[in-house]
Amino acid sequence: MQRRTFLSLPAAGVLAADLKIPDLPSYRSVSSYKPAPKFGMPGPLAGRVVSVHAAKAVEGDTINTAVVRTMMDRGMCALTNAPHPIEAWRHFFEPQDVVGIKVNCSGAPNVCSRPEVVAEVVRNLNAVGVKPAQIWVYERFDEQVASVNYPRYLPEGVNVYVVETPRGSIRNYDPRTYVEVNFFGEDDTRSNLVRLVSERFTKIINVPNMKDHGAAGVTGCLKNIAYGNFSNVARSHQNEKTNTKTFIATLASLEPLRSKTVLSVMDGLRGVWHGGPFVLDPKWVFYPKQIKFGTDPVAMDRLLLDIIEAERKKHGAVSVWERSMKYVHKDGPNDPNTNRFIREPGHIEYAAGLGLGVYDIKSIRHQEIEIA
Amino acid sequence: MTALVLAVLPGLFWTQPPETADALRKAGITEIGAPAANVAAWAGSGIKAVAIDMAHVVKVTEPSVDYKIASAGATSAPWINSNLWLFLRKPDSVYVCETVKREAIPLALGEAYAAGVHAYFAVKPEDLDSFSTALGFLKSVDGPALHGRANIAVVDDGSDAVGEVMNLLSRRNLLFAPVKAPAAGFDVTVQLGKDPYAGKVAEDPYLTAGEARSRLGDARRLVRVYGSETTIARLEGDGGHMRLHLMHFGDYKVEGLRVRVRGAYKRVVVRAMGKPEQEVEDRADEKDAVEFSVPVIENYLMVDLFPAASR
Repeated sequence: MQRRTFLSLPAAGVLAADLKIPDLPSYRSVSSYKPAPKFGMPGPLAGRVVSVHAAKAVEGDTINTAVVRTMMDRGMCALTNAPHPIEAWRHFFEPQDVVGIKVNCSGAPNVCSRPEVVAEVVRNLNAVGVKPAQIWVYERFDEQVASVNYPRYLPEGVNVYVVETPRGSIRNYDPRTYVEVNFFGEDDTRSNLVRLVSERFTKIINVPNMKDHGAAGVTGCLKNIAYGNFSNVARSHQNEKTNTKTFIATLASLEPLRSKTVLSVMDGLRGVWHGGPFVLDPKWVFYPKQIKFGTDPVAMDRLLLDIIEAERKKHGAVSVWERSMKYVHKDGPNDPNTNRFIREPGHIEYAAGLGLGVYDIKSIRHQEIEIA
Repeated sequence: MTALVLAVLPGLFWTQPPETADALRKAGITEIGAPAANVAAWAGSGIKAVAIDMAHVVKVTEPSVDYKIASAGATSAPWINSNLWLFLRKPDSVYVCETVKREAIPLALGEAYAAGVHAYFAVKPEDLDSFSTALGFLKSVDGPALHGRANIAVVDDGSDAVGEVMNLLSRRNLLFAPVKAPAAGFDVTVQLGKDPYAGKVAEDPYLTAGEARSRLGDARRLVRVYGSETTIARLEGDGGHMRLHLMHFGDYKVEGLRVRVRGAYKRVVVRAMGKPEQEVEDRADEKDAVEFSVPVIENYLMVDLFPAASR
């Protein structure tokens, strides 16, 4: 029996009027999945973010796994008001869950979802009763994942999965769940959701990093969960003026991705303040030495904006909000004041307009924890 | 009673002497195309030599792709070097491609077969087996000639500019037919110099193709291909059996290529070289179209779509 698709012609039209978005692309979201009544983005903890900082989390190039464990325990307990870490994780996960852990490997191996952090997530899932075979660490591109060697850090049986094998193949994307849009006359107008997300996972943990992004402004929760779960997304930034402002949240809003993404653990042990999402020059790497926890990707990314902006300011780089073409060079980010695109950090506020979370900094309940 | 006209099979362009007849036979090749002056020498060799008037052939290059790694352009889409548009523009010409690399043989033959033109391809002696395999596949699926399907007419004034428009339409799977003058039966007619294909739009084939697409609307396109920028399609049929030729120019195979074809069909099967007949995957029937995924495409394959359960 064929599943019937329905067209969700979103709130985008209304939002465009509200936010005065000129030239809003005409998005057509196609999915047969309905929103889940519980969890998802922004989830039960909208506007709440816990940041755990530990100066000893990174020493040189080495991640201190014991410190990471403490950070994870403290952060999850604070987020959920649970007395014990296992209670905190039980707040989100049950033994029968099939959990996808969306890592970010675009800056690998230097700046990525660190395997030590991912291993700690997996350890807690196991503690809740989720078996290794029900856990999938996944990313879109093979060469990036291979450079990290996650299996070395994970219990036997945990799946480390690459969507595009070989790169460019769309077999592992769901042909019936996609966002259709024509940005610049491209012929392939669809971006399809990772098939495992729609067909297998019951829940997703988003594990992004803290990075500048040449097109989006920053890449944190929203960018990782959106562009990291769909095919054919690079087309949004073909030209200096990109479509990242509206595309990121449109993708993140598509069901079932939105409902299944129940937790974000932002790995900010290392970050990239320019040239992201890749590590084009090691001197653009910095060390926030923190992990953020939340269910609200907008609130988390709003805080990330300030972190990247502050680090850029420290190095004398132009703001991520700078839109002058004099800083745009087709050769890319050769120095901290050049870029291939006009950044679109406004994608975070746009996501708030689609109901994905809280953008207003005054409304974000941010708890900071310091670990000695 | 109307006689069925068989589709045209591509041929081997062979300039080697008749002493190579054994090698040809060993490869299973019984017929060649040869320059007219060479044909007499093949008499009694057991190989049928068809005379090609080299003064009147159209020479083409082998199909290929340029990923444009080092150049900027209007899009990042790779540049497909396809002969399909030319074959469609001049279906009565005889074509010769004097060099085809081994890896391009299936696509080169498939492209000519899809267009239904008389085309001959030269290959190296060590690649005769590959040629024979590709030709054998086409023979195995060959049947009565089908009519090309198109809903864009391009008024052909014979100019290079119109040729380039055809090239771009073909590369973007905007199925067109050349016409001498505007004709009924098409949803869109492109005539350079006539509104809306005048001025800047007429000067830039990219804009011309974009305007044609816009006028037609994606929903009315006969074929859509998703998941590859290097696969082009040719649709044939008569309202009953439809045959979709898919030509993949990319360096890498694509798994799960998504295809949408207008119309309603009972059975949809994939026929690819060296593989048994395959069912399509993830089929979805809509009111006026069928969508499906092709398990894998490496160079050339065809999809047969049948309106009834019978084959």
